[in-house]
Amino acid sequence: MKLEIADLKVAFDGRVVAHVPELEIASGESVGVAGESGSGKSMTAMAILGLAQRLGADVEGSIKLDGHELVGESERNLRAIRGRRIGMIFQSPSSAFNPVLRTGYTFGRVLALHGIDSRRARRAAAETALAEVRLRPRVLDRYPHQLSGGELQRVAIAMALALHAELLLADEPTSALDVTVQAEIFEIISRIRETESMALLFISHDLAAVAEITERVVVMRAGEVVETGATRAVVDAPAHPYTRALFDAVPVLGGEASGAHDR
Amino acid sequence: MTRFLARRVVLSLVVVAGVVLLTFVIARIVPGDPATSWAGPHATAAEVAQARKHLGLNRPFIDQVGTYFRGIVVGRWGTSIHTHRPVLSDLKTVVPASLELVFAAILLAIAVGVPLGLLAARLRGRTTDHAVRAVAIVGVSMPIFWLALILQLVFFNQLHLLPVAGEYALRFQEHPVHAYTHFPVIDAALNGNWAMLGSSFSHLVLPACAVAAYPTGVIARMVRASVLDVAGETHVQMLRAFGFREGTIFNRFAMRLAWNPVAQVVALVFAYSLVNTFLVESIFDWPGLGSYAGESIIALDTPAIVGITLFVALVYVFVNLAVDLIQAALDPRIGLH
Amino acid sequence: MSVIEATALPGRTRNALAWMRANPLIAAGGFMVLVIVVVAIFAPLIAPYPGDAGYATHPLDIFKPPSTKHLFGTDNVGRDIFSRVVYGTRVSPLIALAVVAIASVVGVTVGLVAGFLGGIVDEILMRITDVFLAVPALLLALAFASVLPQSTGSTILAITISWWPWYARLARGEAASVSRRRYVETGRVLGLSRLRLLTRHVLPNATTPVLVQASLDFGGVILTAAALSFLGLGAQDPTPDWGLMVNEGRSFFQTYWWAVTFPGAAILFSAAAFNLLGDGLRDRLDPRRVVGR
Repeated sequence: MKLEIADLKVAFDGRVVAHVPELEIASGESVGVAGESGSGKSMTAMAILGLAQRLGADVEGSIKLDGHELVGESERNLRAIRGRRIGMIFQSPSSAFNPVLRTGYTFGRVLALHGIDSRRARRAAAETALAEVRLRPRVLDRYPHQLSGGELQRVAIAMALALHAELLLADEPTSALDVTVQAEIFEIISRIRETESMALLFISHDLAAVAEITERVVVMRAGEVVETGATRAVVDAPAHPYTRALFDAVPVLGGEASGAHDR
Repeated sequence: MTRFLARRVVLSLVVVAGVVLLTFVIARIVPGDPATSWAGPHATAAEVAQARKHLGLNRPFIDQVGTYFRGIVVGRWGTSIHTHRPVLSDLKTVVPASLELVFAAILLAIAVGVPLGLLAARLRGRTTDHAVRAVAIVGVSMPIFWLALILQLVFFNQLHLLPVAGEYALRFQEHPVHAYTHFPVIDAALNGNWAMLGSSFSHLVLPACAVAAYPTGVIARMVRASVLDVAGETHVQMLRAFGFREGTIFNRFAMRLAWNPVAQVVALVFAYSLVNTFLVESIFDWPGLGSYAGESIIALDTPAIVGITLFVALVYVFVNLAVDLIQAALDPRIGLH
Repeated sequence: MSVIEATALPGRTRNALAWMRANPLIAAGGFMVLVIVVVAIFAPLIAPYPGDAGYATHPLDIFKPPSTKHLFGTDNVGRDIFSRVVYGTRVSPLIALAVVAIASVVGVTVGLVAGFLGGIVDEILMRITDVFLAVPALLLALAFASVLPQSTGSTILAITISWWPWYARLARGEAASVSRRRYVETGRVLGLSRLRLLTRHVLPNATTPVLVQASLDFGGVILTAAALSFLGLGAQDPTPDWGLMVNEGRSFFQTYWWAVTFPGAAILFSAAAFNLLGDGLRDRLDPRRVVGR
């Protein structure tokens, strides 16, 4: 699997909200998109799945999945890719599920949509995926409000897993969860990346999280990319003053903030 | 669940008790002497005193309230001044006709309002959306009594298409059908009397359209707002991200959420429409609660007016309770599961 | 340069048009309300027969159809309907203004007290509100209006009595949520007087939803007032109240259609005007909190 973004521009009414000149992700890789809210990070992810247009955006440029151009692709073909090859999880897991439906129902419909026809096969696939994220099958019988944010996010990951998605777009997946739950989710995602060779595009304003889970990072500000490179390098020695300010603002427990500034 | 149910029921009872008290207050602030109006304009002093005793006006206030309450619970809702019959039995006679009218109007409002609301939500921001919203506002701003008169003018006087007086043609009163439900349309159908069915149906059309204007507007707006609300939520976005078609997302998933506020609104407009019949029935000679209210108002028949108020409040409280319970049963977030 | 740009309107007009296209409801409603206000203010100048809005009668001109002399025709005692409709703009909207003003002040006061004090006071006040809200507004107004002497003042009183509870509930919700907020608790700890907390913090926050609700209510009150006068419970002759005019023309309606059509259309126009404006304002200011009645 290889995703190649070249000169991507997402604009609303002529105003460019996200401009990514270059970004590549291959199987098993983990790339972060960091920046404050409004920096255009989420729009980039939406554009990859062809969802930005639905919100009224104009998308220019190139997004190639294994050489196949996605920009301008028909809805029909895009729908086949969504979930199946590229999955997405969202910031607020408790509102990402329909509150009046059991999670199992949603899970089942997703699997049925992407070709798993028999009920038994769906149940089996779901249970296998749930085991990977360390959840018991009985969560399928629960309503969203009966599960915690962390559990719901794991169900979402399990859905992408059950479809054997090759790339997971994670839009602030742990911002609404507390730190211990976040660590758990990261551990699960890392494990899945290894076993499935699933690539990860991790979008977040939380730089500590980005530093922890990504190999490469793209820093965005007001829609433009200001810095890109290996995460370790960027964190240790940020080149752009904005990146520096961003990382400096994060207190690091038990270590020194980058640039060794006193707080 | 039982706790939720119990709490709602108790609350409703408290509200009903409050309404009874309120009607008592209304009945007592009538300027002038109830005994005099009961006895009539040509009564002697002795007859007025007799009336005062009969109406219990000499007893202490708390006593009167107590008797009033007890009477309501038992079914003694006072006697109508202009019909001289117990208010409750008057109500029993006239309510079915109004209920038929209101049911017909609400069904019509749902049949027209829901599709319009869905259409407006789907085509949000475009001309159709604005047009639907404009129509909804006209519906909500419509003076119903005026609409009734205009409908009469156009469809009866000018076009001679539809009748305007009564529930069905007079000739059917000579051989009345067996009244199963006291709803002429349904009774005619149940009796197999197709001529009467046609007559009662055609008589129902214009009044129902007049009463339906307001609920249609409200329902259309509510459906539109509710669907748009749900459409903006994250779970819809997530379903898209997993590859579902727009149509599937709405019909299978989103609509289940969108119905809730709409159901509540239907309960509200039911009671409002029942009151709106007051404005329409006298115009169509419809022998229902509205006509009864109209006569009571003209006659300043306080017991009757109070009884009507109490009845409608009871209907409103009951319908709201029913809708709440149905929602609690269907929505897993509320108390039950 | 495109054709569109070449024929472009001057900047300000273009902005205004763009605003109107983006906010069609406020624009339409605002325009209609403006018409009503202008007509109300300049009624003596606009109405050809101002006396007909008062005690004048013209027995020789009964039920004349619409013509150049009488735009809307004449009524059952020969008065010019157009003039009466014009003067009617001084009646209905003023009733609505009075009702909304009084109901909102009373209701908000009750609601703020309930929400801020909480506890048993809150419970009692809210139960009272519930009782009033259990009866549809028109019916309650009807009930009160029928036991009060028939006049415009009674109409205002009757409708106000049935209208205040909604504001109470609205204000109470605001007060209850604001009073729980951190800065108010801090204020309490610091010993600020309750009154100051109420006026400085709770009141400003409650204002927006109340204003939006008030603008939405205008149309509803106009309809309710018209209904009351149609039933004979409100304004009395010769007040040029639109609902009363419909009632007066009702018996002769099938032959003399103009007696009912024009006053009723005026009711529809003004109710729609305020509803449009209120709806547009709600969209702008407070999309989630307010429920139209």
